[in-house]
Amino acid sequence: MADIKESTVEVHPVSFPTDILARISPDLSLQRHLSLGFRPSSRGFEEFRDVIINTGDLTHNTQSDDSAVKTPSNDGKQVLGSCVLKQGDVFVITQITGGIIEDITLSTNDMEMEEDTELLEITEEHSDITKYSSVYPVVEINRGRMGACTDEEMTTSQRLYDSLLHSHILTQNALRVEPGVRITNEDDSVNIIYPDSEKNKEITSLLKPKKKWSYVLYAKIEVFGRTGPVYDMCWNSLMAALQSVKLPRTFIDERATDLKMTVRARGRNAVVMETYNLLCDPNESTNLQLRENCISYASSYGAINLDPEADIANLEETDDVDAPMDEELETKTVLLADIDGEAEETCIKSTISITACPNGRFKQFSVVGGGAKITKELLMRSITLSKQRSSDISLKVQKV
Amino acid sequence: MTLSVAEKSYLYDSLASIPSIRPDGRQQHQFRPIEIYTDFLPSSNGSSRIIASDGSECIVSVKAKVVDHTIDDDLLQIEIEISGERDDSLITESCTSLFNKLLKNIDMKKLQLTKKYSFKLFIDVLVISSNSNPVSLISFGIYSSLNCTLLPKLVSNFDDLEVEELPMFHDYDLVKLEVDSPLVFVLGIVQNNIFIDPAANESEVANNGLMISWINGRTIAPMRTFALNDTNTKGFSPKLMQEGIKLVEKYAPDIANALQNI
Amino acid sequence: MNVQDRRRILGPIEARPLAFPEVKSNSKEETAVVLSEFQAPSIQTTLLKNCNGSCIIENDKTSILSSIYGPRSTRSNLFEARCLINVTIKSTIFPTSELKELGSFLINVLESFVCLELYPKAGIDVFVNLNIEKVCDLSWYIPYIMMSIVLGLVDAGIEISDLPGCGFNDNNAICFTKNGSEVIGIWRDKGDIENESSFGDSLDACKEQYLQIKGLMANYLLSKLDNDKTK
Repeated sequence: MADIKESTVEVHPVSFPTDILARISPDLSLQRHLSLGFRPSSRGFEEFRDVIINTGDLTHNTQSDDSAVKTPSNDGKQVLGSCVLKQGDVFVITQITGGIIEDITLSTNDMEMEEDTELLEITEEHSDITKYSSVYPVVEINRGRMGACTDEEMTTSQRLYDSLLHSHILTQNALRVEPGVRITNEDDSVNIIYPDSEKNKEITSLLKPKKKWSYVLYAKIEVFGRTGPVYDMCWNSLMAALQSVKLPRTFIDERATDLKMTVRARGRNAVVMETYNLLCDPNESTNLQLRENCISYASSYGAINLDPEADIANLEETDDVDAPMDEELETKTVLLADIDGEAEETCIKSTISITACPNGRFKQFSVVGGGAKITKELLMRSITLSKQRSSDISLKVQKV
Repeated sequence: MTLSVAEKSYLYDSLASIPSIRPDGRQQHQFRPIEIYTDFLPSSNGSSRIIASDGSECIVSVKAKVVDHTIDDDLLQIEIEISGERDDSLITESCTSLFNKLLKNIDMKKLQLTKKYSFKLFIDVLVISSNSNPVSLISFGIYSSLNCTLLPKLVSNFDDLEVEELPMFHDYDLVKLEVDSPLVFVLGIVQNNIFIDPAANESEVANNGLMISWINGRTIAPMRTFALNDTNTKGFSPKLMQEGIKLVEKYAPDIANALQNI
Repeated sequence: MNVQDRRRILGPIEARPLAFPEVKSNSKEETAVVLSEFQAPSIQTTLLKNCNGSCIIENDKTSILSSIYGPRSTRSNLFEARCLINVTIKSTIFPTSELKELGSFLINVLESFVCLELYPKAGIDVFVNLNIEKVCDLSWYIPYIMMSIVLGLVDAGIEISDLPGCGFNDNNAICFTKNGSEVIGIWRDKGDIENESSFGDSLDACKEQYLQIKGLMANYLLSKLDNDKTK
C-alpha cells in the first residue's frame, strides 16, 4: 500500500490561452463565454453584426459624379446592378448581369391561350409560380482554394434561386422586353423610338415584330473572408443589388423588322424563321420593377442549451458532489442572433432562419431542430427580432 | 535537366565572367544549329517541322479558309499544343495568349481577297518535345511555314461589292503568301551578361530571361521577362534591356534572311 | 467546351448576352491616354479574416483585392526545399488565357524578391480579384496589382527582400527593386519600340513612378505601424 501511495502521479490542471482553447474545444469555450453573458465575438446574445451596404457602382468613389447625370445611363456596361455588403468582417460582392431570351411560350401560344379560358382557369392554380421569375445566382466563397465548387456554394445558390422565385418579388412582366425601333432618317441621323407615348406606340406597333423577349438576370455573388454561415448575407446583398438594377432599353433596327429568312431545317421541312438582332441602348435604361411589398431580408438565429457545468460563476458550488443534481442542472435554452464564428457555427445545431419583409410579412421560415429545446417563446422572440432586423436593413438600403 | 550544385556554380561563374564563356563555346548572339523541313504536310497550305540540336521539336501547319471579313475580322487563329501539358495548363495558355498578341503584328491586308472576302489562316502548333523554353522555336516554325504557304489563285473580280458573287479560284495555280511574320528571341541574363538562345543548362542557372519580338526591322510588342528557372531568379540592371534590344536588332535580319532562304 | 456545368445554376442555354451597338472607338483611345497618368489610390490592408494577408487598392474605377494564403503546407508529397508560389487572377473583363499569362509573369516577378528559401515544403497562394471597369489594357493595371500583392505579402508577414513596385509608361509596365537599380520584370503588350533612347526615356518614367509608389507604400506601412503602437 505504501508503495502505491508513493508512486501516484500528481495531476496538474492544464490551462490554455483563450484562442487556443477556442480551437481545441469550441464547445467548452462557447459555453464559458455564454455563461458570462456574452458571445465569443463579445456581442450580446441578440446582437447582430453591423451591416454596411453600397449599391449601384461597384467602386464607391464615383457615385457623386453619377448622380449629377439626370438620365440613368449605363454606358454599355454589362453589369446592370451591384452591391457591396460588409457584415462584420465579411464582404459580399454581388454583380447582376443580364441576357435576353426569346419567349417561345408567349409568342406562339398567346392567341390560343385567350380562347382556352377554361383550360387557363384550371391550370392557373398550378402555374401560379410561372408568373414569377428568379435570377440565376452563382455563389463563390473565396477560401484560397481552386477547382470545383463546394457543397456550400451549390446549396446556397440553389436556396437563393428557390427562395427568390417563391418570394414573388420578380414578375415575368417586369422582365418583358419592350423593344423600340431604331430609325434612320433621310439626313442619315439616327434616332430610337420607344413605345412610351401614344404617338410612338402607333409607329412602333406598325414596325413591331411579333416575337417576344424576356430579360434573364444572372447574379454573381462573391464572398470574401468567410467567418460563418453566409446565406443571410448573400440574400440581403442580392436583394439590395436587385433594387439597383437598371435594365438597358433595347431596340431593333427598322431595316431588320421586316427581315424574314427561310431556313431549311432537317431536309424537307421548310421553316420560316425570323431572326432579329436585338441591341441594347447604352444611353437609356429603366429601373427594374420589383414588387415593393415583397422585398424581404434574411436573418438567422441559433438556439443552444446552456450547460450548467460550464458556468464559471457556479463552478465553486458545483464542486460539491453531494448537491442534488436534478434541481441545479435544469437546462436553459438561449437564442443567439446572427450566428458567426467557428465556435458558434460548429456547436449550434438548432437554427432558425427567417426571411421577413419590413412590414411584417414572412417570405421564408425554417427551423432545424438539432437537439436544443426550441420553445414557443424563442420562436416568438426570433420573429420579433427578424422584423426589426429587416426594417433596419431596408433603411440602410434605401439610404444609399 | 538537373545539375549538381558544383556544376551550377561552375556554369554560373563562367557565364557571368567578362567576356562570358558559354558551355558549348557559342558567341553571345549565336544560335544552336536548327534543322527545318517545310511543306511536308500534303493536306495543309503550309507546314514546317523544326528540330533544335537539343532534340526540341515542333510542327506547325497553316490552313486557309475563305471568310467574309465584314463579319469575321479575326483573320488569324492560333492553337498551340505542348505535349505532356494539359490544354489549360499555365504554360500552354500563356503561350497561346502571347502568340495571339504577337500575330496581331501581321499585316492582315495581305490576306484580303476581294472587298468582301478574305482568307482566314488557322495556325496549329504542336510542340513534340521541348528541353528549353519553346517560344523562340515556335516563332521560327510559324515564320517558315507562313513563308512556304501557298494559297489558291483568285480568278474572279476583286470588286465584289457591286456584284454579289463568291470568289472563284484557279483550278491548280497557287500564289505564294507574301507576309511578314514576327520572330521571338529568348535572351538569358546572367549577372551583367546577356546572350541569345539559352540552352537547357544555361537556362538552369540564368538569373532571368527576356523575350523580345521583332518583325521586318522593327522591335515590337510583346516584350516580356520570364524566369528560365525557379531557383535563381533575380533582378538585373536596366541597361541590359537596352543591350538586349540592340543585340536583337543587329542580328535578327540575318536570322530572318536565313529562314527566308529555306 | 460543350460540357454544361451541372453543379451551378447557370440559366437557360438559349439566352444571349446583352449586345450593345459598337461605340465609336475614337473617344475611347483618348480616355486611355488621359488615364495612363498614375493616380494615387487608397490602400487598406488586413480586411479579410480567413486568409493570412489581404490588401485592397482602390481608385475611381478600379478596385483590386489581393488575398494571400500561406505559407501553408502543399499537397504534393515531394520534398521542396523552397516555397512554391502561385498567382491566380480573377476578372470578368479579360480573357482567361491573358489572365493566366499575367499570373505566370507575376509568379516570376515574385520569385525574385520573396525569400522563398525560408519556407521549405510550403506554398503561398496569391489570389487577385479585379473589380474594374474596362478603361485600359491589362498592362495598365499591373502597377496597382503589384502594389496590392506586395502589401498583401507584408500583411501576411511573409519575408520579402525589398519593397518592389511597378511603373507604367508608353505601354511598358516595368517592375523595379532596390531603388530602381534592378529590373525584375517587364511587360509590354503593344506598340513598336522605335529606338533605344525612347525606350530609355520610358524606363526612366517608369522608375520615377516606381519610386512614387514605393513612397506611398512605405508611408502607408509606417502610419499603420504608428496606429498599431498607439492602440
